[in-house]
Amino acid sequence: MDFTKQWHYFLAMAPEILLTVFAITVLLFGVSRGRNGRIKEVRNLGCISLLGIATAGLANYILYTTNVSSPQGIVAVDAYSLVANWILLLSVGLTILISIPYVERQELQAPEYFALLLFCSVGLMVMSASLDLMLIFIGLEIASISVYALAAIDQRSPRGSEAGLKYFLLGAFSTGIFLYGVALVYGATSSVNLIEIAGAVTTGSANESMLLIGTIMLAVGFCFKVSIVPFHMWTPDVYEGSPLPVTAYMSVAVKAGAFLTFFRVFAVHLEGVHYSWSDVLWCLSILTMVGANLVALTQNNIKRLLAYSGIAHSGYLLITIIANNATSQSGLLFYLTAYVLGNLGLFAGITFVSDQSEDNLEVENYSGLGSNYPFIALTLTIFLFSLGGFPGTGGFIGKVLILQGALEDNYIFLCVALVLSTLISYWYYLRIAWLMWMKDPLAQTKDESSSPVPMPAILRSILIFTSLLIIYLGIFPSKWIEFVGLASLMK
Amino acid sequence: MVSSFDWIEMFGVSYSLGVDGISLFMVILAAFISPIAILGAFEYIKKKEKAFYSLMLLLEFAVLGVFLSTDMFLFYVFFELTLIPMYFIVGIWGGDRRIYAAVKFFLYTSLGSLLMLVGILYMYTKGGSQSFAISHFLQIPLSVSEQLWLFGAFGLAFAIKIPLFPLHTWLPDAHVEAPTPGSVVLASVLLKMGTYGFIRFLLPFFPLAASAPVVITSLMGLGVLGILLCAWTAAVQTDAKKLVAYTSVAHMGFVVLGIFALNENGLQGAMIIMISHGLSTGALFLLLGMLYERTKTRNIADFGGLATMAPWLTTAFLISAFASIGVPGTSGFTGEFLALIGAFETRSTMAIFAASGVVFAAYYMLPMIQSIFFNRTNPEKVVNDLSRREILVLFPLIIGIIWLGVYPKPFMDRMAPSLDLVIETVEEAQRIDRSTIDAVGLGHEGLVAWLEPDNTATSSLAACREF
Repeated sequence: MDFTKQWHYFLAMAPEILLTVFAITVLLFGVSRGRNGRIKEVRNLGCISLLGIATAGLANYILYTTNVSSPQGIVAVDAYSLVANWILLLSVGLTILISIPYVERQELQAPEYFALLLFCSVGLMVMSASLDLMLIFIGLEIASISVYALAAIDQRSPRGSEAGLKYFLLGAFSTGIFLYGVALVYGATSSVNLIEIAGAVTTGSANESMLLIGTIMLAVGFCFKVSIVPFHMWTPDVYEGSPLPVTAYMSVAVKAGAFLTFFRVFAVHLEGVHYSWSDVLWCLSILTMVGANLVALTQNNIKRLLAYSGIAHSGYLLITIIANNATSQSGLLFYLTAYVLGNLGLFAGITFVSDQSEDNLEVENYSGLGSNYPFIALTLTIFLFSLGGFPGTGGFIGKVLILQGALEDNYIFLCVALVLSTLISYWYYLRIAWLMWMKDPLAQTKDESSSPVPMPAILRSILIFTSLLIIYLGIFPSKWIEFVGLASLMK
Repeated sequence: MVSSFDWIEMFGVSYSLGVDGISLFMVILAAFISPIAILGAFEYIKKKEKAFYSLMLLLEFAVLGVFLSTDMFLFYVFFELTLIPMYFIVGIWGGDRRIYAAVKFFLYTSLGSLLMLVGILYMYTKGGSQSFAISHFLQIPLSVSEQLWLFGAFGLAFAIKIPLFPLHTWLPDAHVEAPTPGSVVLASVLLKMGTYGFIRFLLPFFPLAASAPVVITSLMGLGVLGILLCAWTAAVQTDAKKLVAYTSVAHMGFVVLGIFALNENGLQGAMIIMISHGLSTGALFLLLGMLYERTKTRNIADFGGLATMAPWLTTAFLISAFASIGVPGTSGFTGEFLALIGAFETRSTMAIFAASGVVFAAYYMLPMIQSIFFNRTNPEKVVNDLSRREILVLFPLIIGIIWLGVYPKPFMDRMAPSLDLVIETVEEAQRIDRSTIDAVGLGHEGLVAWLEPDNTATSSLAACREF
C-alpha cells in the first residue's frame, strides 16, 4: 500500500472508520427500539459494540501485516500507532464486557453509553496516530467530550453529575492551555505538523523562547489528561463520582491514549528541545510518584485508592518520556499493556464486590473475601501484585524495562525514586490483600454470605482472561517485548 | 555444573542453574529442612490446608531457585518470590499480631531488594546490556566509587535479609508470629539467602569495596554489636520463641564476622555456622512448637520440670540448645571456632569481643533450659513425650548437629575449593593497580571458569561430583 490511490487513505484509517460506523449503528439501533426492552437490549448492544471492536481489530491486523509506506501526512500509519490501537481496543473491549452487567443492573441508557465508549476510543486512536497538532487536538476533544458525558451518564446520581461537571470545567481549561501551546508552537515554527516542527527545531530556525513556552503548555495539557501531580486534582473526585466501568475506562484507556500521544510528541518530535522540558518533567515525575503514593496510603474508598495508584503509575510512565530511548519506548508499551490488564481485572472484581452498583466501595468491604470467594480473591491478588510490580507478573517486567531505559540515559535518581515509591505502594496494595486473606468477613456481609452470590459469567471470564495474560506476560515476556520493540520510533 | 536455557533472549536473560561448593550445602539444607518443617507441623495447621502446603512448596521452590541461579535476573526474581509465600504463611496462619509482622517483614525486605534491582540493572547497563549471567557480571569493570555504591545497594538487601544489626527488628516479630513450620523455614533457610548473597555476590563482584578497611571494620563491628546486644536482649525475654529469634541475630553476627575475615578459616566457619544454625535453630523452633501445642503457652515461667515428664523431648532440646550455644562436640562449636580464628587473624579485637558472645549465649540459654525442664514441676502443665512422628522429624536434625560437630571434614573439603576462588578473587583485585582497573577489569578468571556452562573440569566441580 503506497497511497497512490484515493482509497488507500480510507484503508489506512479503516480501524477508526469502522469503529465510528459501529458506534453510529449502536446509537441508531437504540433509538429505533425505544427504551423498553431492557436486559436483552443491553446484551445486544454490547454484542454489536464488541463486534465493532473485533472488526476494527481485524482491520488493524490487516494493516499491521501489510507493508504501509505512509507519506508524511497528518496521520501516521506506523507500527507504533497500530500497537497503540491494539492496546486501546483491548481496553475498550474489556470495559464493555465489564459494563454489560453494570448497565443492566443500573438501567443506564445503553445505546448512548456504548456509543460514547466507542466514540471515545476513536478519539484516542486518532490522537495516538496523528502527526499534526491540530489533529491531536481534535482527537483529544472527541475523547474528552465523550468521557465528560460518560461520567455523568447516570442521571439519578448527583455524584455522577458533579463528577461530569468538574471534569468538564477543568478539562476545558486544560484543553485551552493545550490549544494555546499549539498556537505558540505554530508561531515559533510556522507549522503544526510534527515532522516539520521537528525539522525546524533541529535546524534552529524556530523562535526559541516562543517554542519553549509553547512546549511547556503542550506538556501541561498532556499532564492534565494523564493526571500528573500537580494537575491531578480532578482525578480522585471524578473517579469516585463516575459509574464504576467508566472509572475503569478512564483509568486505563484515556491514560494510555494520552500517554502514547505524549510520548510521540515529546520523546520523538520535540526531542530537539529535550533540554528544555526534560528537567520540568523530571521534577513532576518524582513529585507524582512520591506524592500520589503517599496520599494513596490514607485512602479508604477503593475508587479513590485506585485513582491515586493510577496517578502514581503515570509518574512511572513519565520516566519513559524523559529517558526517550528505544528501551523506554518498549517499556511504555509493555507497561501500559500490563497496567491495562491489571487495572481492568481489578475493576471487574470491584464491580462484582460492589454488586454492580456503587455500594461496598470501602476497602473494609474486601475483608474475608478469600474465605467466601477464594477464586476471585486469588485473581485480585494477582492483579494487585502486578500493579505493585512483583516478579512473576507483567507489571514487574514493565517496571524493569522502564528502569532499564532510564539507566541507559543515566537517570539513576529517577530509578531510585521509582523503586522507593514502589515500596510505598506495596503498603496499600498489600492492605487489600491482607484484608482479603487474613481478616474475617464483616458482620453484615457474613449474613449474606450464607449463600454466596454467584459471579456473573462475563466478569468471571474477564478475571480468568486478564490474570492468565498477566502471568503469561510475567513469565514469558519475550514475545511481547519483541513485538512492541518492532514499533520503535527511535532512529 | 551449570545448565542454561534462554528465557528472555532480547535481554540476555537465561534460566540457568548451577551448583558449586557454596550453593551445594545451601541447596541440601533447604531440601532437607522443608520436608522436616512440613512433617513437624502436620497436626497444627487446621485451616486452609491446601493453600498452606502449596505456599510451603512455592517457598521451597523459590529458595532453591535463589541458591541455584547463576543469572542475576533469575536470582532477583527468586529472591523476591520468596516474600510472597512467606507473607501469606505468616499473615494467614500466624499469631495475634500476624498482620503487623507479615507486612513489616514484607516491606522491610522489599526495601533492600528493590534497591538491589537498580544495582543489578546498573551493572547490566554498564556491562554493555548483553547478559545477566554471573560470569558476565564478574568481568564488568567498575571504578572504586561505583563498587562502593553498588556494594551498598546489594549489601543493604542482603544485610536486611541476614539480618545484620541494626536492621534486624523485623525478625523477632516475624518469628514469633509465624506458625511453627514458617519459623523453621524462615530461620533455617531464608536467613541464609542473605549470607549466601554476601559470599556469592558481594565479595566477588565488588572486591575492592569489600576489602576496603573501613567497610571491613564497620561490617565486622556491626556483626559483633549484633552478637553482644542480641545476646543481652535475649537474656531478658520471657517468650521462649522470641529468645530463640534473638539468638538467630547473634549467630548471623558470627557469620558476618567470619565472612569479612576474608580468609579461608573465616569463610569456612561462616559456612559451617550457616548450616549449623539451620539445623539447631530449626530443631529449637520445632521443639518450641511442640511444647506450644501441648501447653498453649510460650512463656518460659509457665513451664517447669519437664525433664521427668518428657525425657526424650528434653534430650533433643538440650542437644539443639548446646549446638546453639556452641558447646564442643556440636556443630555450633566447629563453626564459631573457625570463624573466630579467621577473625582473629585480621581483626583480633573484634574477635575477642565476639568470643565473649559465646559466654553470653550460655548465659541466656542455660537459665531458659533450667526453668523449662528442671525447676519445680508445674502441676497444671502435663506434657507428653515425643510421638513417633516427632522423633522421626527431630532425629535427622540431631544427627546432623553431631556429625558437623565431630567430623566436619567432608563438608569443609567440598566447600574449600569454591571458597578459595572467592578469596583469590578478592586478593587479586587488591593487587591490581587501582588506576588501571577501568581499562582492564578485575581478575576473575578462576571464578568465571567454573561458571561457563561447558567447563566442568575445575576442582570445585570435581569435588561436588564426588560428594
